[in-house]
Formats: sequence, C-alpha cells, structure tokens
Amino acid sequence: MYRLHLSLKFLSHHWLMTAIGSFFVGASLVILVVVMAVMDGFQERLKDTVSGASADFIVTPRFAADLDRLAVTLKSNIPQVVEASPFEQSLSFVQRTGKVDPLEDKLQYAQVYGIDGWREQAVNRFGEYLWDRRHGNRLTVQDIREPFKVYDALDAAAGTRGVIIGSGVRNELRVVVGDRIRIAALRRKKGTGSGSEAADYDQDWLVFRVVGIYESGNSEKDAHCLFLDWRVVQELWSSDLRRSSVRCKLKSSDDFDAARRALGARIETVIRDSASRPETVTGFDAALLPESWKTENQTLVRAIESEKSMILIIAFLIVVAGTSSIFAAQWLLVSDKIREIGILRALGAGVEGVMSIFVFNGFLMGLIGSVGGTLLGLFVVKKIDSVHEIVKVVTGRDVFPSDIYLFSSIPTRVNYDDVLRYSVAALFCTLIASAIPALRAGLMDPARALHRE
Amino acid sequence: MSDARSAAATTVPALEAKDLHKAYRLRQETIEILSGLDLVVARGESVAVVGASGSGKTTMINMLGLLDRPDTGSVRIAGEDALAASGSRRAQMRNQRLGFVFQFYHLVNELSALDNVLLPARIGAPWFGWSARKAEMTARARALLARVGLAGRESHRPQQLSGGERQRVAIARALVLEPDVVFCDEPTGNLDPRTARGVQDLLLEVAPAGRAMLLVTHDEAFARRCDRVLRLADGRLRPSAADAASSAGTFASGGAA
Ligand SMILES: Nc1ncnc2c1ncn2[C@@H]1O[C@H](COP(=O)(O)OP(=O)(O)O)[C@@H](O)[C@H]1O
Ligand SMILES: [Mg+2]
Repeated sequence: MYRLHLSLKFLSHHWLMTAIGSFFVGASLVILVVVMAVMDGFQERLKDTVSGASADFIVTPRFAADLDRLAVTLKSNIPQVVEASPFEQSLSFVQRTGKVDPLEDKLQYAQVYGIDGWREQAVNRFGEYLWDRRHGNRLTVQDIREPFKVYDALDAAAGTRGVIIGSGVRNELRVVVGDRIRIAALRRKKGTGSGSEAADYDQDWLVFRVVGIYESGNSEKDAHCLFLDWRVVQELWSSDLRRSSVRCKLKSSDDFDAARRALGARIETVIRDSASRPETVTGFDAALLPESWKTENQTLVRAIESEKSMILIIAFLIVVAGTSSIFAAQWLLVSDKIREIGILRALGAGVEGVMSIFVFNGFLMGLIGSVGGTLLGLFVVKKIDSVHEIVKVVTGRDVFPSDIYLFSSIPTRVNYDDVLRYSVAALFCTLIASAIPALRAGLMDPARALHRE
Repeated sequence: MSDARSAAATTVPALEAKDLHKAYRLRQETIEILSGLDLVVARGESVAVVGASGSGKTTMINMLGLLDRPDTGSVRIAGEDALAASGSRRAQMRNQRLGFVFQFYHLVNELSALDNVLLPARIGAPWFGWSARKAEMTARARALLARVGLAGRESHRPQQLSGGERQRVAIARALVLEPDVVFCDEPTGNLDPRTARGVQDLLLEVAPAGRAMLLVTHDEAFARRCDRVLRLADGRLRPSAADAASSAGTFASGGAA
C-alpha cells in the first residue's frame, strides 16, 4: 500500500495545492447542489400550481354517465383513488351587466368549469386558489364549503346563481365580488333534429352573481375561467356541448400508471355501475379515457423537462470546470515530483504503481472536495433564506423579490438521489482529470527523471 | 531458499553484462556512449569504476541497474536475463535484487528517515500484505539505521539531516531488502572529505557482505580500497593501470572469500 501511503504524504505536505484542488471541486458542487435544489423547488411549486388546478387522474367516459355514481365507483374500484369529484367543462361568453361601453367592454370568451365545490377542494385544493393575495390575503368566497352560495336574499329568492371568476376575467370585466355578470349558456333547441344544423343550437344569456375570485398563477387560465356548480352546468349546457369527467386525487401523483391499469382491469364494473343506462353501453361507446394533469398540460411539462436538461448540461459544465482544477493541481504535482518518480522507479515501483499514487492523489482531492462541497451545499440549501438575507445586505439588492415570485420564501427541494449522483459524477470526473497527469508520471523515463537537475 | 542462494553464489556471478551498446541520438548526430562494455562482478566483490566526466559511467549504471535499456547486449542479475524480462519483472528485480546509492542522496523529502529506509519494503509488499510484514521490516530498518550511525534519528526528515547523514540513510535504504548488487554512483561526490571518508568506510564495511558492489567514483583513493578498479573509456571497461599493477592478486582472494 505504498501508493496510498505516499499519496497521503504528498497530499499533506502540499496542503495548499490539495486545498486549491479540492476547493474548486467543492465550490462547483456547492453551486450545483444549491442551484438544482432551488430549480427543483421552483419546478415543484410550478407543478403544484398547475397540477393543483388540474388533477392526478381524470376519467372521461364516452357514454352517458351519472358522474356522482362514477365518482363513487372509481373510489371503490381503484385502490389508488383517494378522492373523486364530478367535473363538467364547456365554453361560453361573458359580459358585464348594465350599460356596455363598446370601447371598453369586449365580449370575453370563457372556459366554463362545473365543479362540486367541496369535493373539488379534496381533489385539488381548489380553496387555495380563492385567496386575494394582493389585497390583504383574504378569502374571496364567504364559505369555502359552499363556495357558490348566494347570500343576497333577493337574488336567492330570484334563483340567481353564484359564479367564481378568474382574476383575469375580473380585470377585463372590471367587476368585483358582489357584482353581476352575464354568461351565455349554450344549448340545443328543444325538439330539434340531429344537431348538425346551426339552427339547432341556441344561447341563453343568464345573469350570475360573482361570489369569488380564482387565481392559479397560470395567467392564461385565470384570464378565461368561470367556475359554476356542476349541476348548474349540466342544467344549462346541453350534454353534447360539454365534456363530463370525474377528477380524482391519487395516493401519490406518481400512481397514475397503476391507477390506469387498475381502471383497465375493472372497466366492466365501472361502466355497469356508472352508466345512466348500462344496457345501451356497448362496443365503441364502452370506453373511458384516463388522463393526468400532465396530459392536460403537455406543453408546460415539456418546457419544464427541457429546462431541466438545459440546467443539467450547465451543471455538468460547472463540474467539469471544477474538476479541471484537479487536473492542474496534479499536473503541477507531477512536475514537482519528477525526481521522486525516478526514485520510486529505481526502488522497484512499476508504471502502474507510480500512476496509482497520482490517481489516488486526485481521487482523494476530489473526495475531500465533493464530500465537503455536498455537505456545504446542503447546509446552504437548508439556510437558504438566511443566505438570501446576507446576499441582500452584501449586494444591496433583492435578488429574489417576493412580490414577483409570489412566494414568501425561496422554494427548495433536495433530491438526495440527484445529490449523490452529482458527487459521484464529480468524483468520476476527478478520476479522469487525474488520469492524464498520472499517465505522464507513470510513463516518465526513470533514468532521466533521476538525473534531472 | 538461502541455501539455494549460497549454493548458486559460488557459480553464478551477481552481475554479468556482455557487449553492451548504448548510443544517444540527438537531432542529426549519434553519440555512442557504451560500445561493447563487458563486466562480471562476483558475489562478495566490490568493483570501482573510474573515468572522465562524461565518459558514460552513469549511463552504464542505468543499463546495469535496469533503469534504461541498452541498444544491444545482455545483462544478467544473479543469472536472470534482465533484458528479456517484462517491465514489471524488471521493476521487481530492481526492488528485490538491486540497491542504489546516488550522488544527490535522492531521499523522499516527505518521508522520515525510517520511512525512507522502509520504502523499498513497502513497494515490494503485495497490495494488502504490508501489515503482515511491517513489524519485521521496521525492526530491520531500525537496526540498519543504527548500523549506519543514525540511531535516534528515525523520525527526522531529510531536511533535518546533514549531507553525510542523508547518504547514510540512502545506504540503509539500499540494503534493507538485502540485494544482490548495490550500485553507487559517486556516493561521496557531494560531501566534504571528512564526511566522505566516513561514508566510504561504511560502504566498504556493509555493502559487500555476501553481495556485489559496483562503485563509480572520481576519488582514486576510495577506488583503490575496492577489490578491483576498472576504467571506463571509449565505451569500454578496462582494468585501471594502477590497479592492474598493484592489486592483481586481490581479485582472486576477494572472489574466493
Ligand atoms: N538522455 C541522454 N540523452 C542524450 N545524451 C545523454 C543522455 N544521458 C547522458 N547523455 C550524454 O552521455 C554522455 C555520458 O553521460 P554520463 O553517463 O552521465 O557520464 P558520466 O556519468 O560518466 O559523467 C554525456 O556526454 C551526456 O551528455
Ligand atoms: Mg555521472
């Protein structure tokens, strides 16, 4: 074991070089661990925002189904499903009531979502998006258990329904909670033919009272969404003008594939127990489409993935830059130790032996650097808000303004598997970085090395 | 093993070189340094080589010490053909059969005197075999350090030792694995005369016991204290004129001892 012995002796006698070599590896790992933890934290918050507005598992039947029964059936037949809630989706137009200013008031198209307020809360924490974060952080509905309830006695008597509108819709219509808006319900004319003629359809403009404001942070969605009670949507929109689903929460959002397989296995039971008229559901109609928030938000998911791979490439370059310091340190060490290399060869060390000394050397530097850097990185992640404060004081500017990011603290998420992968990758890079100087040492001509002045 | 060794010693020379040629090629010109060098050193014999500076003495030691390869010729260490052996076998032979003492001591500065002496033993130990040998080797190294007059200086680093003391450590290191041949390349060339004298006494006392010593020196007096003196000139070794006249008989008696 003279290889390790000498390697340790060289390391401790050339501690400055050791320190510099390990420092850069360590620094690159600190950067890597912190940047990736913050990136992952952001991604998670973002996914949370998007998936929160959507659901883990969305089942859409091709046949006419009783959504209440479908929800119950899914919950009892698919072990991964924890909660299930009916969901209706359609399109509409909205307008403010009263005098319409043709210059200011554009006709807005809207996505209509019919939900069961309370069960929806269980599926995707609907209530968390009903807060007015900018003005006092208040809940915008009166009671989160009955979000669509209209409290005005006159309205209630007249049967006026409540609507929750997206924050973007509110801004466009210039309305506040308590105002009324008009919504166009699309329906088939009674007693008309096949539904293939434009004349078969009609729209009813109905007045609703705004009972809450929804803000998911996804501006596209917030600009065009309306939430109504799902029974109201079923009543006012014809069935061929809406899409009816049941949205479920799974034990874990990773359970999608398992849930889909379970649904496939129990498909007949699910259809029999949920179809409005089971005897008519056969062949082509006997189908249910399972989706997840990922299939609903494919563009965003893909954007996140590609962003992540970009970051990984950058991360890899950081590690390569960090480990190149090992290369430099080892190259200098070999140049400094030519005489010793000659001595070792004269005393019987082989090419492999001399190489091992320098490979060990680089590896140990890398080990010190990557263990130290990883631990320091994890510490920084843990204390990220204090570090943020220090950065603020030192640089005199807020690098992370909370009003822009909407988060009061910097989100972080440490994926320990990834952290392990980074440090192993860094170690691997140091091995490669020290291999070339080690090869130079090993292949040195011993006679010349010994007699070099 | 030791019986076989001593039995072989009577017949097989410790070092045998035949018709060594070595030339260095520099851009256009080729300088021939060794041209047909022959040498046989018996076990227990000490041979001194003298010669002008640049005559190729160090080159010769590099070839005989398996640190470099001659262009042609053969080198046998205790009967084993060293030029036919693989690189790793040659390294093993350097480790176990050869010892070196250089003009500039060539100690490893990061190691204590004791660790320097132990270095050949560590190098020769198998990957995980050192701990089994450590105690025995350490005792041997301490005894050798005491033998060269450095008892109590085991933990000192080379920088904390004088030139003469460093060379004594180097001598102990060359002997720790009991080699067949000890090569000394101007071992006193860097020492003041008084210190040199002490190192010379030590070398002549400890080195040839049961092994061979090949000594390169500029010091004619030192050379004459060896069993035989050869002169390197024109790439060959010839008996030194003075030596041929005065100590022709020494070779026979030294070889028989
Ligand atoms: N690696 C080498 N390349 C070219 N020439 C060399 C090399 N090594 C030694 N020489 C030359 O060989 C000659 C003999 O050198 P050396 O063996 O060191 O002589 P000595 O030890 O007798 O003083 C010198 O002229 C020297 O310049
Ligand atoms: Mg020389």
